[in-house]
Amino acid sequence: MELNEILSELNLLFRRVLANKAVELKMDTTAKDVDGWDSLNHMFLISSIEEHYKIRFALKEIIKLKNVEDMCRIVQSKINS
Amino acid sequence: MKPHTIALFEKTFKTFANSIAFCINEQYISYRELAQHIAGVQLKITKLNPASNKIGILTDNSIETYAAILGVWISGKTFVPMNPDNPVKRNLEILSDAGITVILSRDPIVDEELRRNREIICIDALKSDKEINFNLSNIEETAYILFTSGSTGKPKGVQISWKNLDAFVESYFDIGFQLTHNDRFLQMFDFSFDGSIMSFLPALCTGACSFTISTSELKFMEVIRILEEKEITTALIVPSVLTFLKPYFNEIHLEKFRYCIVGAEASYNATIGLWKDCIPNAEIYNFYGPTESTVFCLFYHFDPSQNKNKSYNGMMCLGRPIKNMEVYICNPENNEFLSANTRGEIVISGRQLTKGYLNNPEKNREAFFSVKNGKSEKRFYKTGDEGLCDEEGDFYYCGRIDNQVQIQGFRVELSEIEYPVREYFKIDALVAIEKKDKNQNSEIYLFVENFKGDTNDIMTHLKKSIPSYMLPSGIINLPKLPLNPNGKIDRKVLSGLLEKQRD
Repeated sequence: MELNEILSELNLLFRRVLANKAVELKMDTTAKDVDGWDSLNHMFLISSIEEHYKIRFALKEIIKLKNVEDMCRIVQSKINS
Repeated sequence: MKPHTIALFEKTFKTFANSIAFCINEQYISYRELAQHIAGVQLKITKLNPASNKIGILTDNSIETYAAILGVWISGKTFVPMNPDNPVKRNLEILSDAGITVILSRDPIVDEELRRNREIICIDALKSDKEINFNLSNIEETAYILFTSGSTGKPKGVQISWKNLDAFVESYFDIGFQLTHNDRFLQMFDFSFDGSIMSFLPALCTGACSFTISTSELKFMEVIRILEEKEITTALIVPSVLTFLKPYFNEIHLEKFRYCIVGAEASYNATIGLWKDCIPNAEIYNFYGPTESTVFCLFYHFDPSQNKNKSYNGMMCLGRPIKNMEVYICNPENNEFLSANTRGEIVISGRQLTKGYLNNPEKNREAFFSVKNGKSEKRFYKTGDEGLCDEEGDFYYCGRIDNQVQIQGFRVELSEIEYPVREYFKIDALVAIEKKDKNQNSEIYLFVENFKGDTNDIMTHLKKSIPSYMLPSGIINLPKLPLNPNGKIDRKVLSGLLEKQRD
């Protein structure tokens, strides 16, 4: 799966979890750029991504996520492995 | 006379000059370097000789902020924290209530209203090679004033004196923590919450290092990163962090953790029992206390063998009073003391008890009462928390008597959320209701009756009026709000609606 495809799917997940239709994710988007993307919602986002792709993040991987691109890359590596 | 806590700082700076005092954003700052920052602040304050002894600090996660706090204290002045992310209106209320004429800030203050008639000192480049003068003759009685949520929409300033703070330090070390300059503390709190005091002050008293965390959006992720990478030994952690980390407990193993204190919210024994396995070498304590008691007044030592731990509705026992405090259960209506195992209001007294709220005689009359015993008189503070004390003298938290809730460790008066909406939109029928999410974290929903406008406008106005942690998770517009037999808005029915929504 291409990174851009994952990005657009994550965009839909973010909109749903944050109940905000205006979310427009880019590769370099960070929590600072998105209203409501705080610690608690971060965990809801992670679990909805895990559910959607049937994957599981390790805590160490979650800690290292700096932006949306990191998320997309880790999803990509997990679904392709 | 020099406060005992200041004397401890003095000893630390002399003994541990080359040790690391703070690690902030991966920058390590020694006590020697910290002393240079403090001396710079002290020189500036002394030169300025401000009209008011209360100094406002726009705090952030920087060495300059910590140096400013210590510089203000060592200059004999009172520290009043303000969060730069607060709405300007809230910081203006703090400035005006405390009569602040000098603000210390790292960033330039652009807002004209905040600047008006006030001296702004930029603390970014303040450093001096001169020694800190620890021997000031005029020490202001009050060490700090923390502004907490108030029911009239105006924050209340809790005044904590040096006597209170010295008593806190004594009580803290009396618990038996064997801390040394090799310990590593975690400081994850904003300065408007007194958990911050407990997270960095004991480190300064022992020559240890504090690892701080910025108030970023993903703060809880930072907490676990710092706990692991920096091998933290001592930390105050709010239970919501643990709830958040719970799905990953099997991946966490913090061998170096020695003292884990939980507090600021109710902790559940079941969660703590699981957390214990992540920190096999740590002792776990539950601390309880409102800001008015200078951080804490009760403590409970969690026993790792599960079945021995006391709880109430699954919430960890609050334990017994610390060295300098007394705690009782009272009838909230007439302040009569109640016997063991009877639910009532938790009331507290002792050396750590605040002298009261700044410029707020009405609230002081409501929240404090005195009991005469012969010639002496003892003051008590009514916490608004419902609790009970068992026959062995252990206290338990049962819930809130009034409408205050705890959000991310902050105490929030629900009426403070209602107030700006009521004032601005001229509507009376509205109510803020707490809801626990599936992880037992508090969320707030605002119900409004027959609101003709766009509820987004209410949220926009709230964002300008109250700190972000107080913002409701949702605004619900109903044609009619339910009333109870007394004609008051029926909070229970609305709570029920929110519960149903969750199901």
